[in-house]
Amino acid sequence: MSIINTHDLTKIYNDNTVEVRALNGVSLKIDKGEFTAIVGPSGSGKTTLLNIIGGLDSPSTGQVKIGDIDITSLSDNQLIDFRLKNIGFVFQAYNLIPVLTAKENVEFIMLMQNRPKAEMEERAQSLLKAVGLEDQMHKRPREMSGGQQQRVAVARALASKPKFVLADEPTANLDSKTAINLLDIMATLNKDEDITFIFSTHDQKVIGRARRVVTLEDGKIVSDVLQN
Amino acid sequence: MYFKLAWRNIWRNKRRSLITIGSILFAVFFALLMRSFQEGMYEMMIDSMVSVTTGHLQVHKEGYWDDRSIDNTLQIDDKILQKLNSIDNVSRTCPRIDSYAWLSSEQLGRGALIIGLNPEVDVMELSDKLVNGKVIGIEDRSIMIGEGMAEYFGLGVGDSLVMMGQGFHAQTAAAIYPVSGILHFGNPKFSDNLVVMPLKLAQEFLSTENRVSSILIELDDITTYAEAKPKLATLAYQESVDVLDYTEMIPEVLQAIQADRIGGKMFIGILYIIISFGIFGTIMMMTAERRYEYGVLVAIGMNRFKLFMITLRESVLIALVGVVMGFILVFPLLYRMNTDPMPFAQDQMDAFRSFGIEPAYYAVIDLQLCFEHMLIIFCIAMVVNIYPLIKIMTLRPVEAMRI
Repeated sequence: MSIINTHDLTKIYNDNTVEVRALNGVSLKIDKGEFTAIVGPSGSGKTTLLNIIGGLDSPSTGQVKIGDIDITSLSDNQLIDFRLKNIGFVFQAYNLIPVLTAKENVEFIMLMQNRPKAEMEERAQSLLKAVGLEDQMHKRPREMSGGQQQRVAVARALASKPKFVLADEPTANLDSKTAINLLDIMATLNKDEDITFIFSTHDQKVIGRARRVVTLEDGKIVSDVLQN
Repeated sequence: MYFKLAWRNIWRNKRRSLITIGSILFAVFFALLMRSFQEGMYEMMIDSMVSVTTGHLQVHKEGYWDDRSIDNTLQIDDKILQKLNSIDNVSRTCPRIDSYAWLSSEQLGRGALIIGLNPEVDVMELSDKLVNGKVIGIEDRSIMIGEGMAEYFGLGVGDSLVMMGQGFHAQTAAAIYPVSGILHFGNPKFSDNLVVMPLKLAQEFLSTENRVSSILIELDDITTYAEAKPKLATLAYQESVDVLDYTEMIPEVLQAIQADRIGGKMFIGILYIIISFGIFGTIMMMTAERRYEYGVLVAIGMNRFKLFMITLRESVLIALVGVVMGFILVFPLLYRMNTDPMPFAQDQMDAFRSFGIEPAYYAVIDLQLCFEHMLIIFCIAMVVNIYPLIKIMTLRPVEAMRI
């Protein structure tokens, strides 16, 4: 059963003189529980595709359905609420709130969902334990390494119980060992808890761990391969 | 956690926040100090006018205030004074008779204001103003004069003064009275031209029997004059009366105070405008620095209004810290100046005394004044937050997160 369904997506950027076609008729279905990498060279449209699937940007034409909801028809406020309840985000630059501790960063997204305090605490602790940071809970981002911060970001993305997690170049700022470690954690969560991960990358280590690899070139899907 | 987040955000740039808090602290400190002194001076001006000349309220025969003639006096008796005294919040009633007379001694003469009063109950505290001799008693047949007049006539205690004037219904008023005391008045008008005499003696001199020009009413609390006024008016007087409060009796003084108050507020207003720009600068920099972070928060699902409320909390917290610290610093000074006013320099003293004002730095402690200034600072914090509000409401997360 597909949870993401894009139909004939195009995204055209106009800078008044030159028209840039970032996506050109992208149709893609992603099922629940997938561990999918969207790959391609710089400027191929990976980030644009993830932004549109995540409701952060709107397509010039085409449709994005998450479950039964056409998110391209939602208003700005509806989209914010939709993202909060349905999508987890992991960014290349971690993007944690610098003045909050690891645990507070994870709890914060649940606070936005108005979850009870006890549930917030329990879930934050269990997620940080799942990403191997149970002893770093009370540290602020600047007191942690890049890999640790990205693991907190993964825990934060999962805290809202999203339908899927979008990760834009999650390992780009990490060294090889830390990147593999992070991928192991994501793969384990995918396998054990059936969490859907979609990430853009050009990191071979990430591509190698994905079960499905969608390759974009010049805004078009040029290959869509399942891997063992 | 929203509060915690706002509080910690303030201290992300300690120096900038401290400078902003410092500027608010300075504004509150200076504004409260200045306005408390200003209001203190007004209070002393009103108090000096009210205590010597008008009282908080006055009862007159109807029409007396517009035609202050000795023929327009009000007949009273002890019963009416007792009834006035029994009204809630009335601390004392002071029957007075006022008129004018020509004074002479040897070759000199001068016109003077005559006030006949009951020295035992009157709001004019004669003992405080006595510089020589003794205070007159209600049954005495002597008078008290100001220092300026004593100097003019070359009189001392025990000397006599001839008084001539017009009594009730054009009767001749003429008498010679010994001076029993010399009084000091800050206001030179009183010092040079005032004669104080016992009420009974003045009534005898002016042939008014039991009539008075006015009954001055002193209240426990000046602010309750409006409530007391109708109660005073409805007693069973023998004649129709008018009851005036001090705002009706000294409107020119109150207008001058109001004009001066506006000047002070304008000055404080300019100070607050400068401070507003300081706060606005801080908010603008905070907003610009955190554009990326705002983009991330909106991207992960933070409601824009909630995000704005965090920035508003930060501004309000900065304002609160500045205001509270300003209060903490200014209150000991205000308390000191309220309980023990600091005297002016000698050369300023005479100038203030000439206006009948106690020459000292006296500050009021007025919670409403504090509340007003706190409100102004919070309003500034609200207004400057229109900038982040616009930025957050129009923020596009994809653009904000683009490095």
